Amino acid sequence: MAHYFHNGIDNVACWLDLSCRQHGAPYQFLVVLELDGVPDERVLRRAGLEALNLFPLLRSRRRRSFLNGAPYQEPVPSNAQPLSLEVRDSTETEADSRLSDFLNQAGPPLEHLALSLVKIRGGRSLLAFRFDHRLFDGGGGELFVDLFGRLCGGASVPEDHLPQPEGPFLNEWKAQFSSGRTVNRQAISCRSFGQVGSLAARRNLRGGRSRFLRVRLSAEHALRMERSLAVPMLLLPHLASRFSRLLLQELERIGASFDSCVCSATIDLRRGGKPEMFFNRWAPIPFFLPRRMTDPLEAEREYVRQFYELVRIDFPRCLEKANLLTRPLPLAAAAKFLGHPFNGSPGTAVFAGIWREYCQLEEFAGCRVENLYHVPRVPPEPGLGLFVNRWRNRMNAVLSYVDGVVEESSLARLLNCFVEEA
Amino acid sequence: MADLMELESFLCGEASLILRGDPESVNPETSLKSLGFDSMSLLELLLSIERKYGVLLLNAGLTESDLFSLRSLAARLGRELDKAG
Repeated sequence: MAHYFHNGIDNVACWLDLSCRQHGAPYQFLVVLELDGVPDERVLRRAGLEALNLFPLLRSRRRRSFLNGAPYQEPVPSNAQPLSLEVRDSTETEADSRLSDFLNQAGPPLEHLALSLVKIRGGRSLLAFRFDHRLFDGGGGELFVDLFGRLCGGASVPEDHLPQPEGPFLNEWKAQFSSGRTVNRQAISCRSFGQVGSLAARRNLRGGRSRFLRVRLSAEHALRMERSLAVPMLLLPHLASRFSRLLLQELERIGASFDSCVCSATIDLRRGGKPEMFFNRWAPIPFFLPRRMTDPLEAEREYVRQFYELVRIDFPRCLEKANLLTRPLPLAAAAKFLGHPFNGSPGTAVFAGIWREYCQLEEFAGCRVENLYHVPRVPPEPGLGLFVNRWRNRMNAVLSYVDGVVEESSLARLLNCFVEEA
Repeated sequence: MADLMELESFLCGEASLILRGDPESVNPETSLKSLGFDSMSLLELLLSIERKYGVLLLNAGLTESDLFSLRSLAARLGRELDKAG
C-alpha cells in the first residue's frame, strides 16, 4: 500500500489540526466558482470519479509513522463510491447561507473532496469544492479546480504527480537543526511584544458555526489600492496593516487587556513553473502591531520592516525545513508555553492571500467562469480571518468568523479595511 | 560609475534563483509582476542586493517606476551606488 507523506509545512497542518480537534470543528475550506450557467450534474460526477481514480489520496486515512511521528496518508481501496455532490436551489440572497451550510458540514472521514452545486434562479449557479486543509491549501485547491475543469471538458490529464512516497527521515540534518533553531528562537522572541489581544479569548467558541461575509473589489479599486502602497508591490503588509488597525480598534472597544495585536499572514512558498497541488505549501508569518501604533503609514512601515526582518532570517523557509526537529515537540505543550502571552489563543486574527491565479479556466463544464473565491473555515481560535484572492485583476475579500467572536455591528467595520478609499 | 550591465546580470541571476525559473527565461525588460514577483519574492531580491552591495533599497523611497522591471531596478541601484561613492 502506497504511503504519501505530508510534504510541505507539516507544523502548520498539525497545529491547526490540533486546534480544530480540541474544539470539535472540522478543518476545511471552500473554493467557489460563480458560473453564468448550470453545469450538467452527470459531467461533474464523471469528472469526479476520474479524479478519484487519478488521485487515490482523495480517499485515504491519516496515519503517523512509528519511527518519527511523520504524518502520512494511506489510500483506502475505493468501493467505486460516486463523488459526494449535493445540489440545491436558491435565490441570489440565500446563496451565501447555502455555502455556509456546506462549509459547516463535517464530511466522511475518508473522503477528502465534496462538491455543492447551488442553482440560482435566473440560470446562474455557484459550484463549491470543499477541501480538507490537511491535504490542500488555497493554491492547491485552485490547481485542483483547474484540473477538474479540464476533466469536465474531456481533456486527458497526465498521471498523478504526487510527492514521492518517502518520509522526512534524517536527511539534511544540519539544515533541519539550524532551521528548527531559527523557528524556536522566533517563537520565543514573540514574548517581547507583551500580551496579545484576542477576540476569541474566554468566549467558549468550542465547535461554533463558521460564517462569512464577502466583498468584491473592481479592477479600478484594486489598482487605486496598489497605488497607495508605502512601498510599491508590497500589498501583503499594506492590507494586513489596514486590517490590524481595525482589530486594534475592536479590541479597544470590547475593553480587552492587551499590549499588541497579532495578525498571522500566510505566505505561499510555491515557486517555479510546475506548482505542487497537494499538501500545505504556505508559511505563517506573525505581524505584531503595538497598541499605540494607530497612524496608517507608521503601521504599514512597521509591517514592512517586520516582514523584511523575517525574510532576512529566512523564517518562512526555515519553517518549511524544520519539520523534523520541531515535530517531536508535543504541540499541546508548545501551545501551553506560548499560551501565556497569546492569551490562550494563537493570535488576534489570520490574514491570508493568494496573489497568483492558479486556476486559469475561462470555462467550466460549458459555463463561463465569472468569478472564483475562497471561503476558509477559521479555527475557533483566533476565530476570525480575512482571505483575499485575485481574479482577472479584480480582488475578492472574504471575512470568515466563528459565530459569536465579533458582534454583528463590528463586521461592517472590519470589512471596511478594503472598502475605505486609499 | 556603477556598471549597469553587471548589476542587471546580477539581478537576473538572483531573480531566477528566487523564482526557481530558467535563468535564460528572465528578461530584464519584463515587468516584475509578469515575472511572478510578489511581496515575499521582492523582499528576497532586495535582501540579495543588500547582502551583495550593502545598499538598503527598502528605505530609499522606491517608486513604481523603479520597481517596474529588473532593468529599472538596476538603474536605481546604480544611482544609489554612485551616490554612496
